[in-house]
Amino acid sequence: MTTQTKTPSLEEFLNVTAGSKEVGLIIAKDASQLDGFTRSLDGMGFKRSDKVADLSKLQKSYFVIDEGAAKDAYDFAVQYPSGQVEIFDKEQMQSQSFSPDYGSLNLVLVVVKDDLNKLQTKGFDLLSAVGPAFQS
Amino acid sequence: MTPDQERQNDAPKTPEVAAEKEPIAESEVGISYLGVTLEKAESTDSQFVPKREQYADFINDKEVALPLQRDVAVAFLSGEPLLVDGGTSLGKTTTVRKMASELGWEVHYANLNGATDVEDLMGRYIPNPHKSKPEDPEYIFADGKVTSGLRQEEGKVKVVILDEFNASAPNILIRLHEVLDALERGSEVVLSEDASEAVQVNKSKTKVIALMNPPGKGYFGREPLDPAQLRRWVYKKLPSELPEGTFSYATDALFGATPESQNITPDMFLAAREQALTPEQLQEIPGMAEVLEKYKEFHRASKELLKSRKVAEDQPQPFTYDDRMEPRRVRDFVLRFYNGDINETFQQALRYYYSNKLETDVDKKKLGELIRLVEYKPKVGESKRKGLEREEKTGAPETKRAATPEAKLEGPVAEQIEAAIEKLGRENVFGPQEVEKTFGVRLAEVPDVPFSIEELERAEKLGQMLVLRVDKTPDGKPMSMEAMNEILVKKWKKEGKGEIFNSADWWKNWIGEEFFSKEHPRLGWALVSKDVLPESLSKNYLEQTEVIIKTLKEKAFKDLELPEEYTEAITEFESKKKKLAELMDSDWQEAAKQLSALKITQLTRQNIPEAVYDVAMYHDKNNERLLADKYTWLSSLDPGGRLVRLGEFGAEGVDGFGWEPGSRDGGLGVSLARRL
Repeated sequence: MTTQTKTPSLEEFLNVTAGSKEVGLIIAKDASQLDGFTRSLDGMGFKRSDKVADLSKLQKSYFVIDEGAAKDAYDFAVQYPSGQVEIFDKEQMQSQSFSPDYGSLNLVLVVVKDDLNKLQTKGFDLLSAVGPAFQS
Repeated sequence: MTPDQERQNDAPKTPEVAAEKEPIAESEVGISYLGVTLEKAESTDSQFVPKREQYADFINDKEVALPLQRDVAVAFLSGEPLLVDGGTSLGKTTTVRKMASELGWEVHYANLNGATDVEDLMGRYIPNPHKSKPEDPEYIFADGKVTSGLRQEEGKVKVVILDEFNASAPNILIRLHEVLDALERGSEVVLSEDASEAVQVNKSKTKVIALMNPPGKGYFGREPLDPAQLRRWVYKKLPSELPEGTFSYATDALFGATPESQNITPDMFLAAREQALTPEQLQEIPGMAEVLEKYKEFHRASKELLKSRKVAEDQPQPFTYDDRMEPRRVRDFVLRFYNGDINETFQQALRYYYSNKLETDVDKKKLGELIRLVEYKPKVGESKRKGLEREEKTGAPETKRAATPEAKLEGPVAEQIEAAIEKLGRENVFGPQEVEKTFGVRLAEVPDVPFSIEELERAEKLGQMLVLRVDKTPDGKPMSMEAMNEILVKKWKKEGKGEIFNSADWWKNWIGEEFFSKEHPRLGWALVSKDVLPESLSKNYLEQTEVIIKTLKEKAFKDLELPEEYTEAITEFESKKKKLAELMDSDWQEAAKQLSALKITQLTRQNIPEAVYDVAMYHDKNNERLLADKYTWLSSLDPGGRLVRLGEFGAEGVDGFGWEPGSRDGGLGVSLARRL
């Protein structure tokens, strides 16, 4: 007899990240799967943020991590559980600080697995900084 | 005002302590973290002030969260930059933000991991976003994250958090150290990024705290910092992982279970003076010159321990005990925290600046042994405290003390006590001073210590303490359980030390009023094992007695001749052992009676008042409860004829009940407590 563990669906995963005190992380195998995930997120009422600083402006939002935005995403994920997040806009040289209302937020980062591995080796330990993670 | 009165007013006084009971106490103007009070900001309306409601479920455990807040508060109070090195799960950033939320202080956060650009922290020119007229400048200078934290604003206090400090690029560290130097001097930070500006900085308005995960230990990209770079910082080492006790406590609290009571002991508190002493006033403190000499020796010895890797051997982040910085810090600590007892204050400072850099309890203990030597020993009749402060602190009945003659602390007894302290450590010797401090009894004469140096050496190996037991209270009544309860309830309530009996009424009803109010310790010195003998656990009373005899022969009197009393007692036991074993099966009450009356029992086991007296003395002096999770089997019988076991000495007091002599229990052993 074999025992099977049911892989949760993306929808189930997002139920877990809703109200969490940590940011969720979706890990895509490749760019194609990442596109699929973002379409699904769009379909479930999530809005894509172009800047990490905008993540908290919507109740349900996600941010796709690329190499250029890795530090901002990491800084956000590290601070999020601490009750206050300060995001610094290098272009405007301005800080924005906010206190997450955890109960009403559902924030997710999305990354391609290879990119994640690169970030981890650079010292951005996203896997430790985020809360629940999802891959299929 | 007379010159004497003036001198008295100028002399260092004990600080007012607003709230010693609550670990974190709040008033309108400030928050006290284990006694260290920080003032709230006048102006708190800012996006950078964390919101208090975010920390409603913050767990103030006693191992990590509370001491960390106290130590952060000390650094903030003194304006020293603090570098906290500890594992990621300890909640370092959250703790600092939580404190800022309570104080209404702004937090300016910079994560140095991956940051390569000094300008991000200090500022740079950017295209003027407000340019609307031709005469408006094309570019304006914009502050970086650190600079915005350095700028002084009316009514505001700012905390600059430099997270993942050891993941920083070298050029950033160099620039930050320039900032620290300016803060220390109270001068200006010149923004080389903006050639025209110098920012006036003030360490009472800007607090800097750096956080880092231990280098190595699974934290990729964290290299050890050059120890020379650490000298500017007060370095505090936290565990790499959450200690087991904290994990359990925090998890219980999170799940709404009632966590096991956390015993917040008075020694965890510091008390900042309302007004710091001046350096000139230091010289007025009795014993300062002696303590200072011993501190110098301590500093040298600590450096040697560190250099030879006898401490901090496995700590990946090397550090030093700096010849210039540490003495200055210790002095400033004493100025700010002198509490009327120079030994206590100095030792607190050394724990803060020296022990806090060590990770393991073993290392802290090694250094603790050196710290204990930094003390001023007053001559007989002289106090290391100011007279008034001594009265306030001892809590002993003053009228009785004044009415009784002075304790004789000169001559052979004084020398014997000093020798015992040398062998066993000060924390393990309870002589006339401790008797007076704990029970308010001032002895007219102190009996000689009946143990030789060799016996004390063996006692040290057995983990024993030396206790002078007295049989009468200051009123001349028996030092009964009732009397001890009366004395200690008042004293310990005042000092936040908990209870002595888990329920005095219950004890009185169970053991009987006569026993409770009349039985007392036997007068004289005793060597008492602080824990039960490990081999005595899970043994019946007879088997325990065999363990006692073996311990006497092989350890307590190893290579020494057994005193005649013991030889006789052992012979008696051997002659009755077989019959007693049979009796335990056939008539346990008779067996218990005979076992209690054995000479070996009377020589080596405590009766109930003695056991209570011994654990009370130790707790009163060291804020540590012996027999916290075990029981020792005593010589006393309960009214039902059972032999009494006593232990589980928690914050609610000591527990006890009767136990049949043939029974065994994994939590029941015997503490070797010999009087000869």
